[in-house]
Amino acid sequence: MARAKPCGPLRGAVASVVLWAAAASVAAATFEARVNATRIGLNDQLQLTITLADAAPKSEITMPALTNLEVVAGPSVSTQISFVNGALSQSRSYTFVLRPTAVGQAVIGAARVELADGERRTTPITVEVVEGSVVPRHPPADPFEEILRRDPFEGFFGRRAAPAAPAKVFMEAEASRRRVFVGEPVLVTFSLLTQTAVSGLDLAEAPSFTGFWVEELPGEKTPVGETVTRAGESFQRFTVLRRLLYPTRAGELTVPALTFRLAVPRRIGFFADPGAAGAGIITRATEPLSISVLPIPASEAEYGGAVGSFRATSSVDRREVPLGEAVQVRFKVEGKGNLKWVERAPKLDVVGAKVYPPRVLDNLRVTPEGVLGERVWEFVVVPETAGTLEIPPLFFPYFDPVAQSVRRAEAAAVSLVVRAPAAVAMGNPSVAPANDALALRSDLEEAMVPGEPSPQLVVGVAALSLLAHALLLAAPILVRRRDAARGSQRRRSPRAILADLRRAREPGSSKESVAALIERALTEAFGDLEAAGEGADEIRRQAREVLREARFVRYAPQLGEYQEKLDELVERAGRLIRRGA
Amino acid sequence: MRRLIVAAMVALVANWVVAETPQERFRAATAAVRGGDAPGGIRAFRELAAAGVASPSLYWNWAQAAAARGHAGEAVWALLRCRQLDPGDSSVARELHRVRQLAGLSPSETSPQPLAELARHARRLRAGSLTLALFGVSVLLHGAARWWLPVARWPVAGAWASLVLALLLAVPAALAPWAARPLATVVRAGVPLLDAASPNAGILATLREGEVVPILTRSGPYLRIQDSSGARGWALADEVWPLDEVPPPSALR
Repeated sequence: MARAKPCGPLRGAVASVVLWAAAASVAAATFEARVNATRIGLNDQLQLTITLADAAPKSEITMPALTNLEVVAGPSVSTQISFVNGALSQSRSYTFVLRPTAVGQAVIGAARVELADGERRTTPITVEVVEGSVVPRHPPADPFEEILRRDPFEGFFGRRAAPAAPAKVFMEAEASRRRVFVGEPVLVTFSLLTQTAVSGLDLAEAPSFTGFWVEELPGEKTPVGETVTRAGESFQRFTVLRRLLYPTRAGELTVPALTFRLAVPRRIGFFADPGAAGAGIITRATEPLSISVLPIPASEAEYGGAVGSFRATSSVDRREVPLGEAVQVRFKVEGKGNLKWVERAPKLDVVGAKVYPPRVLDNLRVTPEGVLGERVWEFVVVPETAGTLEIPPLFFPYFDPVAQSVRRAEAAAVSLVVRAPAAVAMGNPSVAPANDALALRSDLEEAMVPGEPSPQLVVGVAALSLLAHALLLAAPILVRRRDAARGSQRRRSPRAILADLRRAREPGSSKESVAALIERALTEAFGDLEAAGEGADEIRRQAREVLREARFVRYAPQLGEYQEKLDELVERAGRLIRRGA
Repeated sequence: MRRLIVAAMVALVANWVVAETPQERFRAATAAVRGGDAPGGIRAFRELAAAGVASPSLYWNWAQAAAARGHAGEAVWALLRCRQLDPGDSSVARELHRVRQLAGLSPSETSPQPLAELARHARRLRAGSLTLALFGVSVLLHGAARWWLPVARWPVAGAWASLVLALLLAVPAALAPWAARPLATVVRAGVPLLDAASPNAGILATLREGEVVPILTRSGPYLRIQDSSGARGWALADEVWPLDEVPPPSALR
């Protein structure tokens, strides 16, 4: 009875194991890892090949640790046996398709294997990951049907399998709603439905959603498939693309067909190779979708195009502010809807304050249900008067698709206190600030202006004064003229006589000149003293004595020193003149 | 007729009884300002000023209310009025300095005429009265030297000294006020300096709020002024308030 032989793939595997063991006994073992590129883009794939040559492993190869990389497909295993110059060598390669997860450095750790002579490790590999794609793409390979149908190893193993039914792959587009209002979101999901493995997928051309405002939804890191049935056949469905579309105008709008490029692995018999290098590229397109878009019903003038469900709040950064400083008024609208569209700021007029145009702050996130989050308009308000400042209620009109009417989200009024700057009040007791705001005086007080004469009065008085002085100065002249007209001797003023007398003290004066000065001074002050006779008063008698002594000195021969005598006479004469005046 | 006369007299007496005194009106206006109604308070201050009440407190509070409203020019005007009525109040000078800083004005922009400043200081130091007194003293001393103290020398020296001092003081006390032009304050921002006293006049320049300008002449509601850069032109008196006048109600904002 003939022993049943392993057939097909099994037969090949047995043969390879046998050959492996034989080769391992004649050559030195090698264990290495290599990649097809050390610099890749974030959108590229990396092929890691771990090769064990001329060795019989005692255990399974331990997969290397991956940093910033994830396995897309693999491992695919290939075996190579060769005779070179009578020497047998054989190797086995494990190929993985990896994908970077982030820009930066990716590391493939050491793979380990236990051999007869001990443990072997591969050298860790560092790969640089950059934005985009840097690895040249391979041109599309064989046509799809050929890939799916043909097993290139069929002939190698001598088996001719019956023709298999072709596996089906197609793309599907689905809209969450087909009838919406302008500004209401529609979630469009693009899915891959497949009956075979797909190793790669990308858009053949950039989509153009005319008539829609498009919001991209973040994709799932690890797409989860689900089994669905289409036309009686079972498929695995993977969501590959989701877009949130906001119609911008009413009418019948169309979500166009999107064309995708799919990488489908070739069938290579026992060793399935899903890697990119072993894949064929096919294209599939979705069906266009038609969306009926309804117009927004007649809206109020302030309506700015918001659609959804919102609520509004107002706040200020402080409730009390000194005059001259700015206050920040925040008007926040939060909810679900097309807030991104709404650019029109609410109208804010504050009596007694200057309002500057607002800046807009967004904190919005896109979800399958719509855009959620908040938009804040920050107004800078500068009060122009002290006291209580009222920020009026602010409104945000929006269209509510559920109620199918325009509503208003209202933010309540906000009050704040504006403090006036403290005025300088030091040193003034009338400044009595009733509060900290203003230094106001409490009572009317009289003007502190002194009863100052007017400029006219000052000028008039000055003129009169000058006139008086002039008259006083002119009076002696007038008197002199009068005396001259009467023929009487003029009388000089005692001050002038004394001034003359002081000249007698000047050094170098002769006794004659000094005596003459004394004589003249006494005569001018008292008149003719000799003629006065004995009946004159005491002052005149004394003056006559001084006059006689002066004459005596004047005419006395120069036989001695007369200076002391003259000084004495001058002193006496001056004293008498002052007394007489 | 008799009844009518009685009724009129009763009304007059009642009016006299209930009429507010300037002090009460001033306090009410101050309370209004303190309560946040700065415009209402200023209106009341203006009415009091127009009624002839000339008190430093009135203009001080007016300046405070105007500054609280952010009207720096009006505050400068009121403070200058306050200083006119109480030249010795140092708090007015400090407040004026503060408001001037708030308005970003240099000291020369609020003191455009040195002669006017000289006259102000002369007024503050009572130079006019002192001048009159010195003239009198000089005449008295001169006369004394002539008739009562003919021998003493000091009356003559005193007479001449007081006469010279009186003449020197007469310059700031009488000549400076005479020579200085009346002043006005720009009470609004962006007031145009016009090339004619006409609503259709062209704009020569823009005046700075709080700037004090000399008045060259007047024509109806227009003042011919000269700004700090030397430019001469016309401006509305409602926007450039003369320092020696109370503005009309229409000039208030």
